Amino acid sequence: MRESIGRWTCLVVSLAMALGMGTQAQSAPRTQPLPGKASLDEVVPAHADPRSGSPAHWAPPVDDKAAYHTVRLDRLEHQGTGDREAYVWDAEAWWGNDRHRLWLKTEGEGDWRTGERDHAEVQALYNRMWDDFWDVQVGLRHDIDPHPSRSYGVFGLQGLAPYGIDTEASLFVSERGDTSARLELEYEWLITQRWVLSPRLEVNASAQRLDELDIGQGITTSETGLRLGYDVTRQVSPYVGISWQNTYGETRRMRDRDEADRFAVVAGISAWY
Amino acid sequence: MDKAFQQRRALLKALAALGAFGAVSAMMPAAARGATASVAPGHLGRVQGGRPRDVVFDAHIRKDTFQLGDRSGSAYSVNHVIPSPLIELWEGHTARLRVHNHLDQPTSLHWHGLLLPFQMDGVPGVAFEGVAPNTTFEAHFPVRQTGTYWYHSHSGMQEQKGLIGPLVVHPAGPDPYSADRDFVIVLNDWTFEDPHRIMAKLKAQSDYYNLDERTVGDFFDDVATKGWSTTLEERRMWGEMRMTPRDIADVTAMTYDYLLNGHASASPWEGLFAPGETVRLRFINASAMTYFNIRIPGLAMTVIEADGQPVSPVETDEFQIAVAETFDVLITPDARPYTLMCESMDRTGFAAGTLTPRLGARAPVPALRPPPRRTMADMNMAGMDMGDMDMDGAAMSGHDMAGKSLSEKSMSGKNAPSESHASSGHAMAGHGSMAHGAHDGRDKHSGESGHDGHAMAAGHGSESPGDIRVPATMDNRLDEPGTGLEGLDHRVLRYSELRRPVPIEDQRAPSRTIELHLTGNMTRYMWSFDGVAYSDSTPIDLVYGERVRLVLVNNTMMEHPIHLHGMFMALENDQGAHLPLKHTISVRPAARVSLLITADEPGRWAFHCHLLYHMDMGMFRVVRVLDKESAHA
Repeated sequence: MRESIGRWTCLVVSLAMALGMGTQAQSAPRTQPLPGKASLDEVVPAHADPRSGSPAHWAPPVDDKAAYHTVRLDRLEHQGTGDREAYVWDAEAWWGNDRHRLWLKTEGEGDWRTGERDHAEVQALYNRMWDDFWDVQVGLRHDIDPHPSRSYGVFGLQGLAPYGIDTEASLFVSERGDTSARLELEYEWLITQRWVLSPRLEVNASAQRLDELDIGQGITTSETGLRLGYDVTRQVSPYVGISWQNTYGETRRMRDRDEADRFAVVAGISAWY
Repeated sequence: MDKAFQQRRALLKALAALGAFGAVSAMMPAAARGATASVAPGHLGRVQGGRPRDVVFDAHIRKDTFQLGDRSGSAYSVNHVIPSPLIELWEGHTARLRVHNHLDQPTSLHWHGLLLPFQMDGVPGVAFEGVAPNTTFEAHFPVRQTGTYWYHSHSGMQEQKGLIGPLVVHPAGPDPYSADRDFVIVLNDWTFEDPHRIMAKLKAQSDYYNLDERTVGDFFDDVATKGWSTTLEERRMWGEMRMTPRDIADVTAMTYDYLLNGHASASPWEGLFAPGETVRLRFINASAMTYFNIRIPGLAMTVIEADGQPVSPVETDEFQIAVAETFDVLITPDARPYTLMCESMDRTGFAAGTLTPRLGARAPVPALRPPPRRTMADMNMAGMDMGDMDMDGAAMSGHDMAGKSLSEKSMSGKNAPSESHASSGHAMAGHGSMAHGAHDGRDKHSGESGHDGHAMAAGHGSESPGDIRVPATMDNRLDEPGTGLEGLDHRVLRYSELRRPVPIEDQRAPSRTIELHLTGNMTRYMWSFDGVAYSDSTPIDLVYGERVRLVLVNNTMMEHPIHLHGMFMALENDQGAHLPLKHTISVRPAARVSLLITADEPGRWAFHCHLLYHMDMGMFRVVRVLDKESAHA
């Protein structure tokens, strides 16, 4: 009952409004709404948001500054050579919006048989969008292995080179002032929609000789790999492949002959979320 | 809300529990009677019509379970049905549309294409504050138009999860096309995935849903048909742009089920007719991301309305419908069943329904045609030396387009007037330093570089990494049939064929031109206007009463369905005084389209790409219609 009274009142009021509008609109066209239209006075509120022009306390219509995140295991693999059964990991995660992101990276390797871990590093980086395809990264790297652990400042450039080559170039300056660099290139060549052949090249260089790390000046080491993966889903791909690890110049001369060049058959998995 | 309202809601709930819900409102579809935990399709189709009247419609928005075959997942329903029920209104009468939010989050319903006071438009953050949980919003307005429209949530990603429905406005007087049967055909792309997860995947890997990428085999096929040098040159161009001719749709049938009136093609929707009858089909593309190609094998269609607005009848065999568009067609079927074939533009899937003189009879469903490819025309490189080069073996239908020289098309007079570029500086001035900066940046870069293949590969400065552009264009591409529909042996509707039967009311010349570029970066999955996302933008201001020309230039290699709320846009398609009115205009890759707008609806209006994930990434602006004193610049 009360409901229907309310409805009738509304109808009468709106009818009266509708009838009144025509005459009012002529006397004051700027402020009085036309039938079915808003008044010009209603468009700009007292405290307006600069983007929407709406009252500043309203939530925005779209959330284009929202943060997203991804965790990616690029490689978790077993490497078999004549004298060595090694494991390798290489993973990264990012969190943030298009312009600003936080990146975490980790990689390392060790020997299954001896239980010895040759290398383990983590990086924490601030990532800033630089242009269409490139990001600039600045942050810290900490090497847990080899002992003694050491820390580095990192300056990096990461992005997509022409032809879709994933590129990561980093410059490291250690707490002792040593400078080194790393370039990683990777490409995905689709055999089918699910079988993917990925060539990968990593080159390391050092600006000075570091006896405690068995590293000489110049180009130090490289890894050239070819991995064939199968996308079980878009996010999980087991793979097999081959990998050459080489040393160069002064570094090559500093290391044992059996460490100078290695060829390995690899099997692993990559995944992301 | 007030007490009276709460009591009313309690009453409605009680009625619903008694299974008497349908009696409360004549608008309620059959399937809505009685509350069900699980919602199956089946309610949409017939347009009822009847005596012209004021309409009160209560939309109760809830979380429900949507059932599709043996799969089910959570979705949003209106009055317990998915898609949302048909709303029918009458011109010259009033609409009182009440949105009751039973969710634990804000919601909204936007009445897509309707002319109304902006506060009723249903865009949270622009038109109103949104409908908070357990509250009601009432949109009450006089209805002053006719035609086929639709409504959907404008909150978050609820639209992707079922909050979409048809809306038909009947004329006050007799219908000029009184068909014997009248059906709404609502198309949408349903997913069981969480749309936020889809967004996250696209941000992490923008080709995630593309299972039709170029392979090594395609390379050698190309070498075999085109030779080494052409193949390598063509790969170089795509490679330098880090783009792919296989990028047709961002989200595909990998996650989508394409539905027609809520039905998957496995258990198709059926529309009944009697032999000899004229049937009106009101196609509504209520998808989040999917364009469809629509045809009825064996039957010609006469297009009579586009975006709810009348067009002079055009007979056609197929048409492409952009996201958020509507097309009304008339058909006169023979006494046999027909398939309504609605193929997704990327041809990873389809929605299909049956029109039949007797229940259960089916017509054959045609096979999906091979997926289309992006061509040189999509890069605006048609005039280059490689104009004779086809981009991909399967796409040869696009060849004739690609072969036309750019300059030849520029001369054809179908383009936006040339002064628009110069005057755009004025139009954009005062819209904030970000927008202005980006605009200057573009002028510098795109300039007259249309023929320079290197321009597109070059970096575009750090101001707007969200704008990876193809070279500037002067071609509106309105006389082309739509991606993948080139070179068919039957008729395909083109925008250039749309003609308003009566001259548009406002025949004034526009007083100024506003140029906006549609910009994006597929790799980063960023989308914007002029390289500036919504959160860095300021409103585009129109002075009440003015006539403006809006020029949209697509810098990307995808179609974008651009939707203006609150006002129709007259598409400058060479129809003289009879330009068609549209609420959503699909701008083809590398195209430059010109529209005329009369700013006669005061308010704050949303203006955006209607691809849901593009809008959400900031391809969105507010257009204000206000008095001269309040306007920027």
